[in-house]
Amino acid sequence: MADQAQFEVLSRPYMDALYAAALRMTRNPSDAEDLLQETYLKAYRAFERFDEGSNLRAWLFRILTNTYINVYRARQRQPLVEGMDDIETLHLYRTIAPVGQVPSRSAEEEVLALITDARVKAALESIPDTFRITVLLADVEGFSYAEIAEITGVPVGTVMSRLHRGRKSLEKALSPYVTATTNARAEELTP
Amino acid sequence: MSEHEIYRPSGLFGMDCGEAVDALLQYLDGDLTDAKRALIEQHLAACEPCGAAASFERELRAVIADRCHERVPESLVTKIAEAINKERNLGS
Repeated sequence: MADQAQFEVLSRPYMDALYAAALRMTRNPSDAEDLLQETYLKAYRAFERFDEGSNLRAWLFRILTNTYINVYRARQRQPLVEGMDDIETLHLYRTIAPVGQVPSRSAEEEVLALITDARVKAALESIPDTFRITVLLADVEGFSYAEIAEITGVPVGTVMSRLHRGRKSLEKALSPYVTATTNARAEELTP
Repeated sequence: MSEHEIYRPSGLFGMDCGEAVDALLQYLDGDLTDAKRALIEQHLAACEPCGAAASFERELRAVIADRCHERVPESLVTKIAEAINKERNLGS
């Protein structure tokens, strides 16, 4: 059992990460603020029932995710992603390194430098939220498949499939920024 | 997959390029069994294109995670503290 008086001190370190996730989920600063406040209030009310030995960060993310799904998702217009199954694995990497080839370090660095804050955020926000939430939890927050399954309330197999599709969509959304450099660098590839 | 035609280790390493690429993201997620992890690590060490792909993917993930940081506005921190305080007073 957790002491409710400790809630603010213990939960404060996760507020920036929860806010970032709320922004990516709602794609709207005003909704993100409401979502974060609602999450903290719900968590505060339930904190007495929180098992101190368990993972507070995962518990807070679960409340955030559930609140988003139950309250905000219905209001959101969902982006459509077409042709996701046509996207190859390692989509971005393949733009600088066709199968069997090794790109130069400068080509890699150039691609990574093109992936700016604004582009990553826009790319994430362009993919459907079931995939977006899974990618956020895995690649931004570093949760394991099992933790994401617990947070989102779906089986591990579903987490893996959403992650796979979500990453492909994210890479596809980022690829227009990268494609422009591909041809210019093609000659630097080693045979 | 076409990767199979590029690098097929003979006996010594049990995973070919296609299998390594298929398992790569799960490997980077730390979700492979010990046995499969050992196989992919052998492959990545022996095959330059797959090894390069693995390091790029690792770096790409770090970059994506790094690009998503946000800081809660102080006004929101205060608003949340006030809401919790109000809740606390209602309960006492």
